[in-house]
Amino acid sequence: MRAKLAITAYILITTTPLLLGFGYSLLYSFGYIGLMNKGFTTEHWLKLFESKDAIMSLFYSILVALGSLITSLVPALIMAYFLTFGKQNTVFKKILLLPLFVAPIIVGFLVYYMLSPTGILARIAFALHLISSPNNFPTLVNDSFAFGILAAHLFLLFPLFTFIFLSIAKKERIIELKQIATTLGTSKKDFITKIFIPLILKKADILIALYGLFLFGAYEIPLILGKQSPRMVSIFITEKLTKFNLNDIALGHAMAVVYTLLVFLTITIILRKKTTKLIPF
Amino acid sequence: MRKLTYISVGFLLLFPLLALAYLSIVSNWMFPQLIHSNFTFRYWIETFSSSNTLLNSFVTSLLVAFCIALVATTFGFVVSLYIMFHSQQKKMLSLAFYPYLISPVIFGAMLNYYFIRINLTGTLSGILFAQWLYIFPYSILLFSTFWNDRIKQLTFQAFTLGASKYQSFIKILIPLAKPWLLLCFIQCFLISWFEYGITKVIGLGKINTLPIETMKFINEANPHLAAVSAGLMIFPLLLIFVAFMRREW
Repeated sequence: MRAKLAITAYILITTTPLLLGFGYSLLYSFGYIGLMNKGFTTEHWLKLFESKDAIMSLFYSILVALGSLITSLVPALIMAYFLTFGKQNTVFKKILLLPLFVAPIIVGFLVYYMLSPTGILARIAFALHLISSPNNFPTLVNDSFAFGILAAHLFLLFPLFTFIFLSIAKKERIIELKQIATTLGTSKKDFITKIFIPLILKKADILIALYGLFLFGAYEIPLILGKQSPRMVSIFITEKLTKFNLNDIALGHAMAVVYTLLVFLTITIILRKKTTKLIPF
Repeated sequence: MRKLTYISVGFLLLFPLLALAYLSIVSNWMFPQLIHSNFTFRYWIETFSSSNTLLNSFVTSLLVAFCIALVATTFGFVVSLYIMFHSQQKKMLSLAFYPYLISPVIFGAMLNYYFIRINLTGTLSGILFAQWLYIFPYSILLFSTFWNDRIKQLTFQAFTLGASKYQSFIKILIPLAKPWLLLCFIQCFLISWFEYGITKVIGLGKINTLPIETMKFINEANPHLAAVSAGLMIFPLLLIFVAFMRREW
């Protein structure tokens, strides 16, 4: 009886809010509900697909998520290799933990004060006579290439991925594997490119995909470091849903439906693989 | 080469945090000054004065994060027990991924209508409920790694040897799960402590947690108070970090 109650409560807690939220957005986007709506219409959906801003937001979010993943994975792989096969450096490993205790909002703020035209990097450049005014400093925050966002994500994700890769390397007994490979005549380059990197990435593929989903819905960092247009999908949706232009609300709901469907689809594909691989502990 | 890499990466990770501390103890730090001599503890002293809103936000954040961590850990542990002994455990477990992986701010924006209908927007209970809706599934996912075959077999063995459900729960499972309970509590605390988006959407700016205050100062282009607010967010966590550093790696 107690088990049934717990399971029922769990199913209700995990599914009801999502279904209610998704259902509301779906009905709103098709004009069934909402202050300005007068009945079924596909007008908002057509508007969404015709809106360059909306489509750009979606692709921009995907590109930022992919870019952040790549820029974090490469140094994390290098560091994991160094830490696995090099002399154990416990102080460095502890320093690597630091970013895990910093909120994304603080990272966004710090990166802004590092890379903005009047930030610390610009002041160093000025002191070195490399620039004569803030205008000479390259735009590294709120820029089209999302450089600031990528830098902030790198600060947060690179240490995390390094720890995940180190744990995989230990679990897969990669040191012994290298000894065997070397004995069998494998060169260092071949070991790195044909054994170390593929093995680590294969074992961490689902986790990497998961973090990709987190980055796709990132909010605080793009809010501080991103451009007004194109903007991340999370900012697009919240702006449309919480600002005072009533005509835009349905568009925001339509985009929320698209975002939710994309996330649900990705999770379902990921869950086809073994679920135990998903938890990094 | 390797040593140089460690030093440069370590410096790059530490430097922003040092800059944060620096920003909180200087005033009027204008371009192009690099090292500013006008040091002041004014912002910190004002923060700890009785009428300061930042201190109130610290207490609110602490209260919210503590409640969320406590409730999510307790419920997560109990419910995960029933899920992991269920015949459809994989399907059950997969349900937890959906609310956890959706962006909290979008989740909050989609649920905002219902929160308005039940008068929960702009209230502390609304924020607690909204955060709990996606932190609770995380606790389930975390505890699912605890219920391995060894734990399950130990539980069955305890039943075979005559232990009651209560005895096996209190005397076997809880002592075994202590590290997981602590880990889950810390993780849930951190998620709630860092949360900005859903708190902003559901709280409507009426409930000022530390992330809300920090963003307010950032938007006002007040880096010094933003740094103090950010410092208040990091300080309790650094205590945990120092405690961790003291333990053997």
